[in-house]
Amino acid sequence: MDAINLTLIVALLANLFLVSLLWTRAKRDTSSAMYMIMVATVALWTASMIFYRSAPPELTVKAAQMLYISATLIPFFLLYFAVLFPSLTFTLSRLQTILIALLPLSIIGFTLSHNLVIKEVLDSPGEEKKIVFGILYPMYALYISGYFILALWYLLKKYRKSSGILKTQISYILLGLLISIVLGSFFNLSLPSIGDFRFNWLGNVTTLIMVSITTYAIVAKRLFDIRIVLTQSLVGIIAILLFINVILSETPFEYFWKGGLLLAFLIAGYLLIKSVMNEIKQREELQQTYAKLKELDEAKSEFVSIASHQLRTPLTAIKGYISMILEGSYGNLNETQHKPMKSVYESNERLINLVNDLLNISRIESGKIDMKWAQKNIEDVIKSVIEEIGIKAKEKKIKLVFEKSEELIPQVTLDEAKIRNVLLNVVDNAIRYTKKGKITIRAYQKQKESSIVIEVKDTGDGMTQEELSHLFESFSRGGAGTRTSTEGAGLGLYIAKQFMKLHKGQIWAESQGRGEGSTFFIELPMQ
Amino acid sequence: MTKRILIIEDEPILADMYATRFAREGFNVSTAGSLTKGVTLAKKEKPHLILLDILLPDGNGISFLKTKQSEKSIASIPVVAFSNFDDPETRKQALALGALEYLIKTAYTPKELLEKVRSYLK
Repeated sequence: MDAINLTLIVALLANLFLVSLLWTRAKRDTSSAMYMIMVATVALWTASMIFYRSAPPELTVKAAQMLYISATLIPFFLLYFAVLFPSLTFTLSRLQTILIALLPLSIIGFTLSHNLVIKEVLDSPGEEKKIVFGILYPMYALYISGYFILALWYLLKKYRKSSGILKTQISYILLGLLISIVLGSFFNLSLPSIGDFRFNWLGNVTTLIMVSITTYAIVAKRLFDIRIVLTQSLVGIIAILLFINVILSETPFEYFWKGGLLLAFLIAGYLLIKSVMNEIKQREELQQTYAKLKELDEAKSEFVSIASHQLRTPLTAIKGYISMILEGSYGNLNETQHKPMKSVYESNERLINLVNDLLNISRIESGKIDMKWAQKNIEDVIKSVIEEIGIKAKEKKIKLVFEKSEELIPQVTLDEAKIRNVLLNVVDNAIRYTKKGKITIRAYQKQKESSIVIEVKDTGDGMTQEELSHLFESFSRGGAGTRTSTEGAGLGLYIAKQFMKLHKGQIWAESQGRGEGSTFFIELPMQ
Repeated sequence: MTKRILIIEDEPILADMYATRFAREGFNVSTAGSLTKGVTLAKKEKPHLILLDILLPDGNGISFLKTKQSEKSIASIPVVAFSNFDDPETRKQALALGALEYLIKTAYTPKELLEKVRSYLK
């Protein structure tokens, strides 16, 4: 029993172990059953190799025939598997089944016939047996390569079409196949065709890689990222080759430095695998975190929608009843009663606006804001805003003036409700921070930038540069505690900015300083 | 002729408030606190207009609109959806199923709502 036969026995036992792993699964589904049969044929091929290498001279040709016939079965069952996977039942038609079987059965027939594939076996002591091939050996080699390539092609097609865990499974199978086909073809087809039979036993060992990887892909409940397997396989293959290199050493010095090389490589390989695993682990953790965040974001949106609905119900009742009291539905109010009632109504309106703003912000931040685009005349929008907010300015005895443009302003595509909201916030802001004087609104077209600009100029308190820089941030009143008015939660301008962003427009303010008034600019692109 | 209004609203405090205001203006008002009762009353009284809340205990105003579409006797009654549930998808669905408008309750006083209803009844 030489070292090679020992290695082959190990490979055989490993193959049989894999057959046992697949047994229960094979009883349930056809794909696994077909794959199990293929692994069994690999085991048969390995057993044949052991027999071929140990056979007495009178049986070497028969042993060689058995070896090559068992090898014929492998691509045959692999192709069945590639065509069937991942089907749980046998879905091939009778014609397909016969067609696939036709060529291998013919090859088996040719191999059995004397001289066609194998002519004779040359046995030299101390060397691997050499086979003299017959005239049909090229056909044999072509069949083996062809069926392997076909199996690869089927699996690649399925890989492209699939997704999720199936895609991962197929990627594993393809990896295992590629490694084994490349190595196996080299050791068992290419080298023997030029008369080199020294490494034909290695083919049996390399199929172990394919079989292990594919069995893992089929059986494992949770598949690791293929990059780990790829790295491990590559490191393993190179380690094996370096090990063989050590074994083939002839001098103690060679043993020493080749052994040293193998050791150094094993350390580097271990570190490489570790770093790949870490990277993959981090990526998986990131993906899990992302999924959790998305879930939380959905939950938050739902919560905000429901919360705002729940908050609005009592606000509706307060608004309704107070408005009815103010209208005199429950008896006329005198001056002393009217004022506080009005304050209650206005405070309630602020609460309603706050809920609206919070809902809007939540929607903007989740990207769930609904836009209703339409071509509108900007001057009509300005007029309707002035109509709505005019009363407030009148109460404060501030003049609200609209300077209509002399030139015709073309229509612009916008979401009317949102632009009204922006304008209302800006004008409301101007009224709030102006004690006396006037607020002038005008709109004009900026030819160069092809945009429409709305200007809201007031004679109010003005702002410092510091206040201007924080103006459009949320919960800022352009300088907390320094302004006289404490109304408003400071969300209006922040939302206005977000709405302008959705229009791919801009909003900004300018002021010469305290007491110099302010001018707000709203710019809308024409397209 | 006295116009009949059906208000489908599950919050008693709000249903009461709107009913009082509308009745004061001479409307004949009925209220229903659920989807089922709403369908029954609609079929029985054939109101001139229905004010429909969206979030109801036994269903959703959208299902009411679907049921109404399939019932010949009430299919042509105009409906104004009003709700504090400001959901763009629900709004789209309601308008697609024939609601004349989708109003947010907090944006209107009972008087303003009345004006809206009057404009639709003209």
